[in-house]
Amino acid sequence: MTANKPLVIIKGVKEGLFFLLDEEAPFPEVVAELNHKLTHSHGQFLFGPITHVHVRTGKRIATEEIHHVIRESFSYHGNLLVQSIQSDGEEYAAPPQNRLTSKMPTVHLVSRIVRSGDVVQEEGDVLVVGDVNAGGMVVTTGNIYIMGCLRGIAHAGYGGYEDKIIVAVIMEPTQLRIGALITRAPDERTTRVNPMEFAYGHEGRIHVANMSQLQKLRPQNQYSVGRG
Amino acid sequence: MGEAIVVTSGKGGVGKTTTTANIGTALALLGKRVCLVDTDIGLRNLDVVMGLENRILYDLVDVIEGRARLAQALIKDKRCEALYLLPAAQTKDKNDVLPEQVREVVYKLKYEYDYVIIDCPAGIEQGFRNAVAGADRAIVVTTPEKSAVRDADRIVGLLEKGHVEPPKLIINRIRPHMMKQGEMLDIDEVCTILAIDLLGVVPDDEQVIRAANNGEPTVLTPTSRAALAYRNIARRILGDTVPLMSLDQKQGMIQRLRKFLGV
Repeated sequence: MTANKPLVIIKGVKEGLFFLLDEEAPFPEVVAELNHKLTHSHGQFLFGPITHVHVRTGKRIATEEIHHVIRESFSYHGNLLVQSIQSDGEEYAAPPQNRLTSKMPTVHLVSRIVRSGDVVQEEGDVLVVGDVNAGGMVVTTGNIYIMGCLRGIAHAGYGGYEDKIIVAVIMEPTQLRIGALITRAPDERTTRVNPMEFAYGHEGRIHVANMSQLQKLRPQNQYSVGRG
Repeated sequence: MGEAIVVTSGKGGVGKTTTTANIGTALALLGKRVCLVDTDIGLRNLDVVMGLENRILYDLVDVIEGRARLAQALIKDKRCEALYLLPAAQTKDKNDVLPEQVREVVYKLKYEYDYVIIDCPAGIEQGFRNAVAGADRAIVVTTPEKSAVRDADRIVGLLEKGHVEPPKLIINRIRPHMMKQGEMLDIDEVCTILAIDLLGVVPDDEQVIRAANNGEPTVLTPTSRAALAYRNIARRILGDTVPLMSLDQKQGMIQRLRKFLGV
């Protein structure tokens, strides 16, 4: 066992623990260090709550035998549940999709008129190509972009995200909701036609501004839509 | 094989029954074989508007439940040769029949007639589903009022989810001077909101009320402006290109021609 480079690296992530096994050293040595870490140096794992474990073997191909040996090592510790044992080759087959999609913005396309009585419920950003008529509603955790006239209710940032915005080519909403903020249309019906506008939350109120103000007011909305 | 057209609106009182009676009569006047079907079970009106109330022996529910043959229940119109009415039952209610049963009746009628015009009850419940079940096409009737347009929008949404082809719009009871002053939604506004093809506009006309009370469809009174509008609608259903009626009576021939040509 070479002292300068650990053969087993343990990483804590959201899903549980990742065990990264050295890919070059002889496998019995790796297993010995794994067992040592589990029982001695990192004994605190034994007493914790049930934890999911993912084992990565690097370039070493995770054969049937390796699976068996690794599971045996963990089987002495009841609170560590092995969820997966994978080598690099396999890793590309299974989770890369997740890795890509989790970084890409999710935009749900609604290419129809949201009519009275329709409720569009999504997570992430929603792009409506068409009008949202009075009596219709769009609810989402993300931003709402309407390529048409908003006459109904748009609720962006559902779940308390007050940094989200609502964009509509023609803004004539019944109500605007962003996170927990609500505003309604003025009782006086105005017939002026404004250039494209967007609604945003600021200091507990919803404001509507011209699109040219968007980058100034919401610089984080660097629309990466369609980049992937 | 004929075509079944349902006349619907969502909101009550916008003129579904009047429209059904008039379009049906107008189509019959143009030489088509037409059957009107009233699906407003429990609140039948079409027979009254057509002036055929006293001739009813059997109704739609009798046919569905096998107490009468279809031919026995059909009432021949007293004015038009090729116009028939299948009345709704007055004693039952909408939940006594199923959409499939109505579809079967309409399907049989389509063999005999060029057009089967179905009068739909107000609402979006069972009665609506019954009326829409057998239809190939739909006509949505609305008035230029916000509430009627809102309900029409809901109906269009429901129809789009169903199997019928995109519905056509009739805007009923238009008062040109109120539109001009902006006190009423104008035709363009209604069309923009609903985003469906306009089949026709019918001006508000006292003659319509008079005619309905006399049990005689307005189309039979050629002096009425509403009658002309209904005749135009019937011709558009047959596929003719008929320009929208000018609502402004003072408009001259040249303006009308211009409007038609779109310049």
